[in-house]
Amino acid sequence: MPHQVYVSLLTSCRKESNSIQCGLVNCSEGCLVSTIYSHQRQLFFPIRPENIEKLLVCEIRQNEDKVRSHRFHDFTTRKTKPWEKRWVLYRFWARLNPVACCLAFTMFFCLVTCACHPQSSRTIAVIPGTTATEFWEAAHGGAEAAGSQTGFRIYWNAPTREDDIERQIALVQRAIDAEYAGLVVAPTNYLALVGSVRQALSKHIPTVVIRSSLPIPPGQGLSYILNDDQETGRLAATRVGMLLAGKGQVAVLGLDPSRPTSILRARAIEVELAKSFPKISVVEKRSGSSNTGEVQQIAQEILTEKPSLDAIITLDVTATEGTWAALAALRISKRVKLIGCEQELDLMAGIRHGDIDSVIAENTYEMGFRAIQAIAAQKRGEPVPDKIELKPVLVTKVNIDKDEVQRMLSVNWRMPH
Amino acid sequence: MRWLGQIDRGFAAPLCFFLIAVFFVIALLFRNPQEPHYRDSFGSGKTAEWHAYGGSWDSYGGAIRNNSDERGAKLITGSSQWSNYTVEADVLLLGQNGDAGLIVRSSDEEEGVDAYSGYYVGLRDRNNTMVIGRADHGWMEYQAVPVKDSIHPFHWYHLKVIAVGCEIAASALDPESQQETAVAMVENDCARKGRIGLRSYSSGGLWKNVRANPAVSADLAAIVDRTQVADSPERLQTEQGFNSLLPYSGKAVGPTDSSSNGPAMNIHTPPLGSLRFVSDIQASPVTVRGSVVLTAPVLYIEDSSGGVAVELPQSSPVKIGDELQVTGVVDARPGGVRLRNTTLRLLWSRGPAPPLSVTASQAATGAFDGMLVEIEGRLLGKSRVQGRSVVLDLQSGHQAFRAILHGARQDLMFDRLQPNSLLRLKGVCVADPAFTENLTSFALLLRSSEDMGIVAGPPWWDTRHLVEGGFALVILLMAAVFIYFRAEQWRMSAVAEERSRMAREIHDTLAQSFAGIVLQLESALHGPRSDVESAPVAMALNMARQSRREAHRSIAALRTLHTDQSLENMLRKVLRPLISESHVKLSIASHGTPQRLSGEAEGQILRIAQEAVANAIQHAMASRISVRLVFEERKLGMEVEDDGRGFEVSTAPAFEDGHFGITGMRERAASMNAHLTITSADHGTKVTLVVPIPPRRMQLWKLAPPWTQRIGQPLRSWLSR
Repeated sequence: MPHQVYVSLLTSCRKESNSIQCGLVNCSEGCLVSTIYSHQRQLFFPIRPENIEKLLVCEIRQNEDKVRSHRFHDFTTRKTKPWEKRWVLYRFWARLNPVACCLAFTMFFCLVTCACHPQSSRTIAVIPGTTATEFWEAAHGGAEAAGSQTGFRIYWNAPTREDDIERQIALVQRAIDAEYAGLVVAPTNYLALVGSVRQALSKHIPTVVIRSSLPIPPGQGLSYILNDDQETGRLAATRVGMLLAGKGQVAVLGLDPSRPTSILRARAIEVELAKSFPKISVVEKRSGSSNTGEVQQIAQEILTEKPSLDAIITLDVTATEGTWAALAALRISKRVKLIGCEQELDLMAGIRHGDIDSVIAENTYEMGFRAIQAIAAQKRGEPVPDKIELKPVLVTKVNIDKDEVQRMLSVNWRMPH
Repeated sequence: MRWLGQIDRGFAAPLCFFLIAVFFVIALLFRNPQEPHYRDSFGSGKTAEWHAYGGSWDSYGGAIRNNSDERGAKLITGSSQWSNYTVEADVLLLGQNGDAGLIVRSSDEEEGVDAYSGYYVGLRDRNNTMVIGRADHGWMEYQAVPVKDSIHPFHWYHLKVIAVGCEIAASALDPESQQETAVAMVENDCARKGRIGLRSYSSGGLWKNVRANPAVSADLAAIVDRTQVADSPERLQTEQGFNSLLPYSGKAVGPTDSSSNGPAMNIHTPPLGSLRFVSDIQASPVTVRGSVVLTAPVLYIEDSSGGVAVELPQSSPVKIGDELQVTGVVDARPGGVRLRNTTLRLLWSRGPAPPLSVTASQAATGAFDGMLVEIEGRLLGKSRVQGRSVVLDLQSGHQAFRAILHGARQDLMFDRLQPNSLLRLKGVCVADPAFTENLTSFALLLRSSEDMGIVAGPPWWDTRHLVEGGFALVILLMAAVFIYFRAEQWRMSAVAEERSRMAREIHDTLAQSFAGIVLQLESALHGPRSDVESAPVAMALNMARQSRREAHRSIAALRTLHTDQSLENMLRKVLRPLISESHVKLSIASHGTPQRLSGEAEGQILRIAQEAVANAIQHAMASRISVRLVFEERKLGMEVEDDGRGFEVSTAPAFEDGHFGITGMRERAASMNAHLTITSADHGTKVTLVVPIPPRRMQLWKLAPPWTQRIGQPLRSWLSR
């Protein structure tokens, strides 16, 4: 009975004087090696003598136990089927083994790793004091605008409370661990973030501290983009002096010893009043709170104790909102002038309706914008200034609709200016 | 070439792995979106499918509650592959100046006010609006629609959100007044898939009857037809747009219940820490202020100096973070200070205060009694008490303490905890014997399951894992042994098959040819022709017969080698046919532990034995032949001894004389590094073969302990079968 043997690999052909001798690896019968001979010079399939590992798919038709019939004229060639072509490719690829295998696996895992790993090399973390406030969302807008210009992605998150220092440290630490391209942080405490920022610098992560400073000298990857608190205090004092015509009693509310910003502002107010409006006295200086209700209570207490008070200068948003509520509760908004530091959209409504005289707005949009630009410049190897102080703007009913002011107040972080 | 075949086989496994990995990656990327079907089980207290990002969440009266004023607290569930669906729930605000609502198509969530990507629809009581917008680690408010009849805290609203394509629409129904408000938005580059969630901002909230179902455009149209669809958030994101769209109501914040009947606001109150020094004899009430750090099972308030327990006069809707003014009688006990006969005044709401990080030893001093602290400890045990509380026994250094969680999403926490895990716990530190049972110096009362973080799981080298690892190792070893023997068996089968084929070929070619030659020579020698020279023909005939016998011996040897037979058996099989036509007595014996050699070596041994026995029969005229195999640790000895007439070994016929026997035996012995000795005397001949056994084969079993060798042999036999 005819016995069919599928020979999948023909190897080691060499031409002799009157024959061609080839080795066969017969994979259909357990990969045995045998030798076949041909006394014919012409074969039915092309064999190049120098090609020692040529792959062919053919049939050997032989009679059982008749080895002598192993002659090439008994071979019949047939057309290669599509799957066999793929098999040919596989064989070809397999011959590149093991280097090809290692390379293929390395590439595969690199692809998978890159797909799963956050693109931290093109991401800058921006960690403000808190989020979802108009004050900080303007900085978000600035950061996103600069990010789209420079090709960096912005990671934006912060604690839900501005006094949650632990959470802010944790977020900064996360940015350091992820080895982001840069770090922008608005510290809520003068000292608590020193260690984290130093750690970022030690890992060569360009860092920009915005709004209020830290006790770390700039340089070696660290730069500051701050609000000019002296100017904030001077603007507030000048506004009070103008409103009170150079004479009256003023209270300052919202001092926070852990934030140099508020100390600087309070001092600048006193210095400017003493210098330009000596007949205006600061009769009360009180600390604030992160809670509006608590500040309202403090303000009501001050207003009750000092009925002749002419104006109150508040040093942060919460203090402004609490004092505004106290004035509204006591129905003396028109008599006692309120000048606030730091902006929120609610406060602007108060300005428009005359319940708040003015707010000294910080250019947080520009802080975010310049911070990302500074990091991009550092990445390019360009020098960046150690410290930039941005001038605040006094927002009153008169100038609130000006483009410059409206731009500072915009919180449209998805549609950059 | 042979190496190519080996590469192919070696390549198959990594190729399969690669293909499987690619398949899984593709399946992950292109898996079919799941159908959104969800119905809550808050009534039975099951909340394990929800994941919290901030807030203080617990089951409360068939609903789930965020008992905290934290801004942007979220609770998320569902599949990230959910696409077009409706989510609806009954929502209740637990305080003023905040909002609460539903999230759809949420992804990329983390703790933070707007730290997620998705859409939020909420009811905001600060300006009585229903809002809709896009969150993407920032908030873009698309629409804020005033709600008729205002939004009231502690009042249920039915909220329904539909997301189909890039359109999101929502409606809020006041079940009492049947007033309905609708909002809708469309976004070009929208989030198309995501989970569902519950969210509150600055006011806690209650949610119940949370359901999610697939939605189609017709569902969306029912709401969109009743409202304008906002396609841009721009107006609300500028100061002018924000303040022109929203009604101005001035500024009216806390104290939140200034019109209530509670005591008047007292500005100068003693610090809570000083209440420890109030004498029990003094029964006059005191007024204190503090923020709520725990509401259940006991209300605790704290300030920067300490904390106290407050006995509530009745069920009061206070939340964690609320600032309270409490008037009551001080009950100072060694287990902590408690205010009795109290009246409360809610001053204002605020987010929960961060805890103080202390060590267990510091907490054990009582200095932090009633205060919110954070402590790390290793979990020793866990238990449920009356199905309502979970009690954890912990150890930190030399200090043991307990942590108690009362009724807040216990199922999620209880199942996740493993003994010996290192936990970081936030809770109110109390020394009250009602909680410590005088077993520990203090206990931590947890607010929710989110107050417990697993810093590190239990060490892997515990008893159970070691036992499991041991079993796995044994199974792996058995598998390795099995595979080894199977591979060896396959190899031997292949060799045997090849040898059979060669035997077949020799039989059909060489042996047949010799037979033919012998036939021709015999006919020539004994035929009628006389011109044939008889001597050379006889010589050729002898040589042809000799060659034929050699060929048959080769065939016999080649066909005998089978993997399932010992060398002794193979000798019997090869040598018995040689003595079948004679009266020679053949004895074959084996001594020592039989060992397998390579197939080639065994073949050579067989051929040497065959040659020796054939010589003894043909030339020595022996009547008795003994073959003895001696297996030693590193060598195999084979002795073939006969009692026939001896011969002079030094003058034995050489190859040139037409004899192949002794030369062939020596060559075969040399090919396997064996030593062949032939001694002969008048009374017999002795052929001794000493074959070295490679140490590799020996060490495989010598490395194993003796008991494994005892079971190894039957195992090998079984595997060979």
